[in-house]
Amino acid sequence: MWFGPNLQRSYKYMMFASKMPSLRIDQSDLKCKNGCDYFGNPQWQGYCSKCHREQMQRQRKAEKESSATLPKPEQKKPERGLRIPSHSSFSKFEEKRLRQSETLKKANLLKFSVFKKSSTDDHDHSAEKRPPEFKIPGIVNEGMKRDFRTRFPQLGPAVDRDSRLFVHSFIMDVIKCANVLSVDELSERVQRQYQRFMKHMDTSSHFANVEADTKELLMDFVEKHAMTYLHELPSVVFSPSGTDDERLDRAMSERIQQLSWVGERHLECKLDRNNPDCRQLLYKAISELLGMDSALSPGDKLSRVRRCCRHVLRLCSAAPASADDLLPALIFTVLKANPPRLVSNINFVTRFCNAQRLMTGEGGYYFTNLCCAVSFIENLTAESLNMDKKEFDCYMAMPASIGGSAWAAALSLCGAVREADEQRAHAQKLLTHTHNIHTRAEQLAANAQSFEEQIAKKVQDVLTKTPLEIKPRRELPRLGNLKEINTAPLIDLGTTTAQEEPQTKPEVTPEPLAATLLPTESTEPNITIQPETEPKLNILGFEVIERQSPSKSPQNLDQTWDLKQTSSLELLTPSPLGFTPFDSRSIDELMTPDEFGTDQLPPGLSNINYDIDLSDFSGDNSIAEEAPKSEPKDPFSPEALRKITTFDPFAPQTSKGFETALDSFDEFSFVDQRKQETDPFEVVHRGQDPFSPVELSKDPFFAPEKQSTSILDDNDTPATACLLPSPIQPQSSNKPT
Amino acid sequence: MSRCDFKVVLLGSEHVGKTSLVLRFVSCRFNADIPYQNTVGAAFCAKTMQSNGKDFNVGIWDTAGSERYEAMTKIYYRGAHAAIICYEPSSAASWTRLRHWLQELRGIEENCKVYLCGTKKDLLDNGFVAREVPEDTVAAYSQGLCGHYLTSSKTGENVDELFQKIVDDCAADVRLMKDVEDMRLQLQKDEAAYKAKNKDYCYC
Repeated sequence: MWFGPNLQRSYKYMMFASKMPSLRIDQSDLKCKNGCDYFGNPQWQGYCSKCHREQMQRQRKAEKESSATLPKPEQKKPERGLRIPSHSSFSKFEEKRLRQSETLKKANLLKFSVFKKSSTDDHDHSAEKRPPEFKIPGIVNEGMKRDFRTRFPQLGPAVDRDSRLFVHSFIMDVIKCANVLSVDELSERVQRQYQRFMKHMDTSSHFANVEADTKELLMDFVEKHAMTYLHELPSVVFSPSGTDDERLDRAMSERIQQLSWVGERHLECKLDRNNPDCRQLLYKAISELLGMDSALSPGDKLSRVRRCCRHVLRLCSAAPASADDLLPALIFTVLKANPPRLVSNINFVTRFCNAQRLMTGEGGYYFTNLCCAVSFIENLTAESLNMDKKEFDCYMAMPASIGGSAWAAALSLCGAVREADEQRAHAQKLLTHTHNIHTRAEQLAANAQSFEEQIAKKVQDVLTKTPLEIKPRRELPRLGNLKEINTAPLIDLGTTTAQEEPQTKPEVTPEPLAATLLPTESTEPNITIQPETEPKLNILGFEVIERQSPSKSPQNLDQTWDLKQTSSLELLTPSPLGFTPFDSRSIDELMTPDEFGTDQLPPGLSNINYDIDLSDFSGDNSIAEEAPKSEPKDPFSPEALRKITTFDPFAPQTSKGFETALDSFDEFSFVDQRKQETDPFEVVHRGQDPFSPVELSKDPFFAPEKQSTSILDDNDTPATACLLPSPIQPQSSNKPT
Repeated sequence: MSRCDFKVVLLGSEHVGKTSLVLRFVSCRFNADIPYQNTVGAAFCAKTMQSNGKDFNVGIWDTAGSERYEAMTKIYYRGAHAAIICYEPSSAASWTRLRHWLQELRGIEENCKVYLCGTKKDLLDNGFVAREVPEDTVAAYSQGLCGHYLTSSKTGENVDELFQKIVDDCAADVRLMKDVEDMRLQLQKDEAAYKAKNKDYCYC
């Protein structure tokens, strides 16, 4: 009776104390949990050191016993979140434990534990000992920037910045929380971060005009970069320190090794070991599955799984393979692949992949299948294989190396085949490459060859062309001389060696020289080269240059054209236009001088001529300028054109008819030529000759000129006018008059 | 994009016709002779459907019906929006297994809508097989569920109706969720505005 209320009160008090441990700490709370009189320590889960050690030993023993089957993951959970890095004795203990369990990962944890933030009350003490704030290396940000630009070139810098900032804060948040929260809490936090970003994208003005699909890609981008970085940090997200993912990995690997005798017939999946295609597909699936471990972000891991399952589906012989075929084949693949760190990988994806994607979508489906396969392998018994228990035990007791050797051999064969294929492809590539190089080299050699020939030919051309204007010009040609000129070449040709003689007319000498020069050098090389080079012109694109050479120097052209006229008074028929291309002209002329003096001029002499020629150019020009005063011989040089405009007699000639022209000109040669060439043009545009009554009656002086200008409209520009050698040119230039 | 708005899981014992159902449903987009996705298989199918003028991408998860994988089906229907449990009216065994899934679904995934689907209706109609599952039993079971359909994958009867119903239901759910969310946001905003307003006066 007397103790009743008292007891009740004390009981209430106890209840209260246990419920609200906050401010007041009873001494009993500090004692060891086991009830021995020593004080306990939160780092030792509330035990005293001795009791804790015993407890740990008991636990380890239990662990060893249960390692054959899969142990439960809860064993180590209570420890986490209680460690304090500054506590030296504890960390020593931690190290000892590490060595015992022989895990490298956990050693990394210690290194990493500098970032730990303790959740306990002595936060204040450890504050000053804590290292400076953790920084994400700049390279991560740089990589993100680059990746963003390549992936979303259409998005603006604001979006880019937002995403990168979010990834940054995301990583920092996870690192900060990693030591405080348990894995499940951390995973939940990560999921909330994903949702936060989604919400941010929905609400922020920066993302206002981003499409939904792009938003999802952005989500992937964020997930990928955040998780890729975090994945590399030891024991934060990948097989985190609080879980025993690693031990499970090893157990799983051992288990799969033990089950290596399980063949396709046990799983009732239809695989054909003898079919090379089938082997190849299986090999591909396995290599994808193995690749899952090396992929860093959950999205990449998922896509690996998806590709693996695609191969597996193709492996199933039935055309539209259903889940009934997929699962056994996948189980078989996992058994044959024995992927490293399988459990860690699966847990990593389930915890930190964006849940929205994991739950739905194709990748999620295949991943679920993989989870099923793993859980099937974990719980594999004789019944699940429809086998006798005794037989199953027999197989299980057998050393792992014996079973499943046939498939192992087939798969290694596959690997070899694939390697050989790769090598062969590589060799093929190299072969084509060398072939390419070879053809290129040949082409280059041909180029060089033809280039050389071209150059030689060009030099020769120049050489043959240049002596034309060389020495002669000391005297100015006069109207009266022209007739002499016409006859002169024949005389001169005989006396080519005596070129210095002042009597020879300037325009005469070059012609024979050209004639003489050409044969000397071209007898042997030129004739042989020409047929070769002409087809090659197209290949090399040299033809442009070839054409330029005659038109390059209008003065030159004029000169030759003049010469042509004078000399061809006798040979008008072969080249009536006087505008034959350079080569043909030279060939034409070859005919006449061929008889004489192939040996007369040695090549050395021509070189000397060439040198002199350059200096003579000015003299040439001066002659061209002066010449028209007496006669409007060359209508193409700009000076001549100008002069013609002032020089009247031509205009009336053409418009009135050529009888008058003939009358007015003693140089019938010119008129004659002009008449010949104007004919075709007139035929084109107007019915007939200038003397036809219709035209005469219809047109005053200017009308026909206008017509002619309209035809020649294209050539109105002075440059083309200069180049056009047709005698019609003067007409157009007459227009202003 | 391989992302889906809804996840629909197909359950049912072996040879009940789950895969055929999916193929029938999905391949009406294509020529019926060409299997969906050519060789990749029919384990996972996605199809875009309309409900109330909005597009929804429905992902259909086929599961392995064999009894040895029964323990793993839990993993499949985690987070599913809807589940179709198939049975064959002419097979009592398929019906007994159906009850097992029904119980599991009720226990584990409360938010998942459950639809019953009797397959191979054409066989039943033509009298090739006799009905073994009494109709009133089915009716009793489907009382608390979202719907019951008798389908024929061969003729395509009722297949589209079944999936359309599922999409409509799910879309309605989504709309409801969105309405609630909107209202919640509105409330939050109002509250914030009210607080901000009050702040102006309170400088104590």
